[in-house]
Amino acid sequence: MRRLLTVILGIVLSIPVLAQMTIKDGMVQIADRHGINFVYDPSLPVDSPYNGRSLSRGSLDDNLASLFKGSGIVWEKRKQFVVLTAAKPEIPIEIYATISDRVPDADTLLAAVKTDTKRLDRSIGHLQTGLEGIRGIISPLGEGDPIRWAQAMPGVTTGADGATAMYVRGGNSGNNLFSLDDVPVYGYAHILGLTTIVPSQVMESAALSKGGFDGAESNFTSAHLRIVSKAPSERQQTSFAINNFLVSASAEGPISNKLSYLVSARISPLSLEYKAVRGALPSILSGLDNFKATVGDAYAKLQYKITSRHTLDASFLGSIDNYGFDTPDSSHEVMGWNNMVGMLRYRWEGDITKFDVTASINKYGSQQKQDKTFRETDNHLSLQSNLTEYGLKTGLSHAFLNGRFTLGEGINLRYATFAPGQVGEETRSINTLLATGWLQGEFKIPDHLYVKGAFRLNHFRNYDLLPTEGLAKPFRVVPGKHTNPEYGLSLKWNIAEHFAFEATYDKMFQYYHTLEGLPIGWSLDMIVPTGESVLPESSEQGSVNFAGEFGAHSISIGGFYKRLENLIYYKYSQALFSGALSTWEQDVELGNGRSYGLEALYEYAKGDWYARVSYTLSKTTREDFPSFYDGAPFHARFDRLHVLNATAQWKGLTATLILQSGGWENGAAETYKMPFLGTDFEADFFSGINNYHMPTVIRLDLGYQFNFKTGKVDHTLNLSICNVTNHFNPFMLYYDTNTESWKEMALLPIMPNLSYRISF
Amino acid sequence: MNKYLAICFCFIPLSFSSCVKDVTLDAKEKPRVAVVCILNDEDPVQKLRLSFTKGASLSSAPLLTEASAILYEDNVFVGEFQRAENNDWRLEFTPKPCLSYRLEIDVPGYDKITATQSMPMERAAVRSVKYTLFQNCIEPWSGWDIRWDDLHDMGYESWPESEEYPDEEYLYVLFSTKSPVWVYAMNYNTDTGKRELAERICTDSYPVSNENAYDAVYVPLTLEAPNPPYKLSLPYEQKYGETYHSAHTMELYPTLSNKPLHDYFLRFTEETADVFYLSGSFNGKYCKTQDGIWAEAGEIAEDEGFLVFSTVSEDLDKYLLEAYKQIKINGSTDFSSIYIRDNLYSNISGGIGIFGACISRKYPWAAAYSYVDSGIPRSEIIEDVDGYIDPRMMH
Repeated sequence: MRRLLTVILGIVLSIPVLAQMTIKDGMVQIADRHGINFVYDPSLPVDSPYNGRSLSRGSLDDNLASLFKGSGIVWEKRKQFVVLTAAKPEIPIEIYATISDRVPDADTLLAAVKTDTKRLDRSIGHLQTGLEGIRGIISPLGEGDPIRWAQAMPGVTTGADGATAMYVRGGNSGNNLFSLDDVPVYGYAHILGLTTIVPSQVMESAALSKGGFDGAESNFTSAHLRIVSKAPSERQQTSFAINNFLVSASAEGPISNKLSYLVSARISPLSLEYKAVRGALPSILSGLDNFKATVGDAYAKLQYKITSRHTLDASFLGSIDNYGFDTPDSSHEVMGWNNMVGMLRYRWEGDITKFDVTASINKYGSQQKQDKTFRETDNHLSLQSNLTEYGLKTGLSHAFLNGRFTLGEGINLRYATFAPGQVGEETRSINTLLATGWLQGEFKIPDHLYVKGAFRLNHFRNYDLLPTEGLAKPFRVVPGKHTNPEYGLSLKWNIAEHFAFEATYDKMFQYYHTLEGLPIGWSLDMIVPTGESVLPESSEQGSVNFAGEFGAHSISIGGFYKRLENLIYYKYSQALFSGALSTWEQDVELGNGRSYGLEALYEYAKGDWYARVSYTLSKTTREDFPSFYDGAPFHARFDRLHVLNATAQWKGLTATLILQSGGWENGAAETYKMPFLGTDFEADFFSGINNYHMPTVIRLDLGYQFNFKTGKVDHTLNLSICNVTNHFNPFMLYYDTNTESWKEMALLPIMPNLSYRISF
Repeated sequence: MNKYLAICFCFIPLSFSSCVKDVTLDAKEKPRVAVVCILNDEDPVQKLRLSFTKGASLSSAPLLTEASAILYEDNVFVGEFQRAENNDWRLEFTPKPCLSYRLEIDVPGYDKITATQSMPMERAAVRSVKYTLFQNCIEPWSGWDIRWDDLHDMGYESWPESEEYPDEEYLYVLFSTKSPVWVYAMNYNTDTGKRELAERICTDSYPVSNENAYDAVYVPLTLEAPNPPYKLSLPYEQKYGETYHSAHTMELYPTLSNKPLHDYFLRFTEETADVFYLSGSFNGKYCKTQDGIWAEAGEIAEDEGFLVFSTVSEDLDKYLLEAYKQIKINGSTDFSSIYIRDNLYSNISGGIGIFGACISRKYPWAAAYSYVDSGIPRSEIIEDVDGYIDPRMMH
């Protein structure tokens, strides 16, 4: 291993570096490219050399971050101006951003202050990062993705090692909202969960909200991972990238003065790679036979700037994932999912008023099939879940009292069709309508206090689609309607100059459910709607937090308590695979959940050094399910007592340590001898569910990123090794029909990764 | 640069390597105490079995050697079970119908284990009716007692005594039951020297519950008549003249032909409408009645099988039904069965298992073959000498 790292570093250090230029040169380049003006004190060290990456590509934020990194200069965007100030040893706590088109007075800045681009943007219940922060995460694809970034945050636990499942403060993965430009994406996992379907080339930022939700956020009960796509570049840019699993291409730029575009496509050569390796090194592939994969995604965006205040955006995202393979017992497994998300948005941004309206269509489908020969009999099991959603929403906000008070309101309408069932069988479709009206108020006393209150009123209806013979209308209304108010409160109080107290309270409802209780080894998301007997899930959560910034150090420590109600659990796993699935609502049981814990986040950023440690100590249980433990509490499947993520970065080198307590699976039966009509047989006794403690996940990842330029082409190379210690961290469990026993499979043994990107 | 990139891309093959490990999913919970005690008034010694459950990663369950088990009858102390061999504990005692019993067990390191049970009110009234088969008789069943006399007077001789082809068959009738009655057969296996539960059982009686209906019908075993040729019985000789047939077939309980088979047992929940036959995968020698024709089994030799009619308590009935389901699941070829996590019915507080009660009696059975093929159309022979038409022929 040491020899391997030496070789890698040797290769890396032999690469030629960028030519010298000054920070001021970079400022001129950025001003020309992005059409902005710099406002700064001439005493700032703008004549210092700049040794970073090329500034001819990337977003404004990325280029500013790269230009001023480590220079002692702090920058802040104010519409068409960028204000530069010197980094001060005592840095005020971040508050909020106000909107104004006047030239700002540097001494009276009310805006958020960045001291280092790697540092998270952290506010009440909210964490945000830019593209550099996302790509800096080590991952099996060579560069990170938003889910992996979010998984490293406090309060977040993961599912199987390497997968993109995310459990926040005790909620299930189906309790999270993953959105792209505020349109939900229901099947965001890509390549068996190694990455997400949104390519990094189209991302502007990622934000994780765990509490203190905005009024416009609804239909989830845990967390919101919000991806914002970037605006197309004002100059023509093209890029290509390749990593272990994906080949991608993207292009963006202006079509006319007002119209610009952004397109991206990715495809996976997994099948070709498998065949090549199978021929050359068959012994490596002992766990996979006949592997086939069809993986790809495409994104397109058109932006039309009607005026400087009016914008029209149209975008499309499509993805496909299909995998087939044989397990060592000659069973054949097929799994796949696909997404299609289309969006049309109009926005108007005034000085103190903003308005937007969005229409969207969202299609998600997933399936899993197993063909097994069990005791000399062929068995075919399958499950599928399909969801189609049409959405229309509006939002209006207005600032008063010189920006100290903001009022927002809006409406969100969603019409959806659900179709869970068996693959190839006729499934019963269920139509639903969810209407949400929301109201939000924010009040600020700069440098001292921030308060936000949000209110939502939801109305949900379930239209059970019946055969239409003889009926004038294609559906009839069944009594599956619910009206539920939601509310939230956020508070931030700057106790002292470097110290703040934060608190949140949220009451949320969710009407789309991901069924828990799927059998071991079945991992697709079976999404079903609220109905007459399946009530809306709800959560009630409170959190408190203390945050401080002391020079290069920032720390936040807090705790949360959450209570979940009307969680649904599918009781009869075997019935999932029969026609009984069409009556799934009769086979679920409702119960509750509870989660509480401590969250801590520490960051250090100085010069070329950056370190972040995130730790969560929590307990998550499920309870009040009559069929399990007579309603007594039991472990949630992802109840991990300790979760530690530690990252250290120096120049381009990154080391990440992940330590997580094991999750919980259904334990195997105990056996005992029992009589039956004069004979004896071996009976099974299941003492409970989620009672087998999976082993601790330990993973050490090392990576190196470097940039260089040849002519007009910018190169970025990421080299990394995931799981340097080759620790066995199970990814999935499956049942070996030959030995009639369970086996666990790890997806991430020691795995070198490579990602190479060029742009021009 | 190309050379460096080529080196880097060689890492790609390692991306496909994956590891597989066995996992027992043993939750390592504290073993439960399993209790099995089925009170039976037929036995003068009641048995109690105590054991621990075995975890998935263990090769054998821990031994339960220390326990105190006391039985109460209507809250009156009856006695304490004494440890015998293996996990068996014994108490010399005969329970009585309608009385209630309580079991209290203390196992070191566990909370007190208790269970209660009531004996069934009465035993099911079951009669086995023995009929004698006749040689040279073309009717596929034997007649009533009175007809035996008539036929004997007519000069017909009874079937020669033969172990292989018994001259008796049995019919049964179930009178008056207030609790479910389970009927099953125990074959004697000459290879193993033990009695085993017969896998299939069939009857022409109703009502019988269908939880254990097997997807097949009864097909009688056949054999060639041992003493060809045979003569037609007197009335038909008069009609058709003396006729000899060179070959003819006999079937094992032909009236059960095409009746649905059941797995292991028949479960009666009310008295039967009429007498009925029983047959199935009954192999080997079976015991006979002790005397007369209206009787239970006589002395049963070690190498003889027998039928059991068992009136069970409500708890035992529930347990047996679930035990049957679990046995079927254990042997199922349906892969989705591995996802079933249902536990057996248990009425043990502080433990698992069954404290049941039954009133059981053993009954005889005979492998009786009857003629079915005489070469004469069946419609011609349903009418006997006196014009009496036996309704059992009419199906």
